[in-house]
Amino acid sequence: MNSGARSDEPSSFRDPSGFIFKYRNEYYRQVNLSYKDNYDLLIDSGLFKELVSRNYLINHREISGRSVGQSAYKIIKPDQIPFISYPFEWCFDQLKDAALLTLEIEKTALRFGQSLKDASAYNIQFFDGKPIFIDTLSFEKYAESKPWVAYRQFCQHFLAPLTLMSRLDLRLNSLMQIYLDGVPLDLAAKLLPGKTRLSLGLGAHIFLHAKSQKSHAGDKSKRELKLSRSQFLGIIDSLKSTVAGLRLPKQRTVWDHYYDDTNYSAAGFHDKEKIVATWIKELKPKTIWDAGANDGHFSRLGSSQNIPTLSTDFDPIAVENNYLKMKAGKDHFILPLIIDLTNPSPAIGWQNTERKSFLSRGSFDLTFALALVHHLAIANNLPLNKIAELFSLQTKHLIIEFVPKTDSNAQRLLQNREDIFVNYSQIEFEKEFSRYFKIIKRKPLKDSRRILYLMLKK
Amino acid sequence: MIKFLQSLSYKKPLRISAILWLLIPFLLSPLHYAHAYLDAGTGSYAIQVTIGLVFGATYAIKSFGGKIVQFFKGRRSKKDSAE
Repeated sequence: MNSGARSDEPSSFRDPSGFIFKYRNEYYRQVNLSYKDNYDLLIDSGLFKELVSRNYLINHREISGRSVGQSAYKIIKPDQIPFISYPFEWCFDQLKDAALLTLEIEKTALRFGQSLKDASAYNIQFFDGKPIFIDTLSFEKYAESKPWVAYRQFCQHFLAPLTLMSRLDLRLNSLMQIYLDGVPLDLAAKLLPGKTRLSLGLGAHIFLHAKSQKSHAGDKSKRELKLSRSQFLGIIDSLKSTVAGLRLPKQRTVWDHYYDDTNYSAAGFHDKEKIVATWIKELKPKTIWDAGANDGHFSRLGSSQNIPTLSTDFDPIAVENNYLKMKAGKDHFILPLIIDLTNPSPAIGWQNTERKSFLSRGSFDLTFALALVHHLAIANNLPLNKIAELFSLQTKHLIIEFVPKTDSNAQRLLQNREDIFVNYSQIEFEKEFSRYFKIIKRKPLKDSRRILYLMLKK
Repeated sequence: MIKFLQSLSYKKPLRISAILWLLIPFLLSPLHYAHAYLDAGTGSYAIQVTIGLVFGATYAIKSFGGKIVQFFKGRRSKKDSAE
């Protein structure tokens, strides 16, 4: 392997056991010599096979003769994840499923005499419609009597944000964007309602844990703290039942029942579905981004054709509904994520490179912007040329719905504000988008004043 | 300082300066949060040892209870198949 053509991924530089690198647009992982014993144990014990067969851990194959440097023990090529997502972009049930998977893996690892040395939510990705653990180098030999080294990280990355989302507000998952190593437990304890302490699991794993962290901070004593295997399993079991017991709060969404409250007639809605489905068939895209997907109704026109479809919306309940539908329908090709287009996830972490920005994580063959442009232009004051520019940077083809000012939903947005949007018209829309795209097709929707466009990037 | 002690001994009303004197030892004493950046994770280990007693016992009872249920289920199914 030519090391010159290789680029190290900034997401894994903290791990002394190995690192991820990109070579010819594919991701590889180097296993360092220092991790040799643990890697061999993972493979030889049968744990790797067990976890892969249950779709808990990403599969990989070892690449022979491609060592890159003296520190390398092995190079492995994992199955490639189509789109990398981060915990602050997941809805409640995505984070909950990721937490339960981490605990199930830890429990399985213990049966094979191993344990997770970290429990970062970034070690989970969504692949084939399910969460999957991607950090093959997270396993180490279980040291008898030693407490779980990843306990704090699990509580900060999973339990604290899930509890805040469940007991206070779903939007608090955005704290994960501010705190790279998970929500500090003392902060979670301060924010949570007092009655949360009454829950045995939450009281112990968040409140007492935060108190213990505080009272032992700067502790210089070197006494050995011992935890028996059954106590270790008891803690994992308690974490599991605590996480499983967390439920969605009763929170009404902005977009709840959005499709029941549109100004489309049934014929207009079906017409829109038919046109989008026909254009997908004609274009045969390899990837789709539905950028304002609500509960993913139109995204499914792509994913049902086995096309990997990123289905984003800024509303956490809409994404939650999308995810639950995905699970119920066993849809393997859709990935629902919480993304606010007006403020997409930034690059965070060390040197602002450890976790990539949303817009730098991929481009798409086809993007949908359905019933979206009026929200961006009128509700968010975004000029049409800025909207066109954004999509031109992310996609080859664009299916976009123009919603005129006369449309009742656009009128609703203008109800309590001065109409300063003199340039918001079909003529201006076509003029601005034509700077970046070639308009291939234009179809007025039945029983509506809306127009659907198919565009190709210039 | 002498004046301050005298103020206390003569039971004069405490002034703001006197209160500040009293607070100085507390202000100078190391606060737990001052060491947060040196935290070796001992707190997360220590709490596991404490709560492990409760959750370990609960887990043992659950596992033992499960085994008893399995035992009787096994006996019943053997009995049913024999009949």
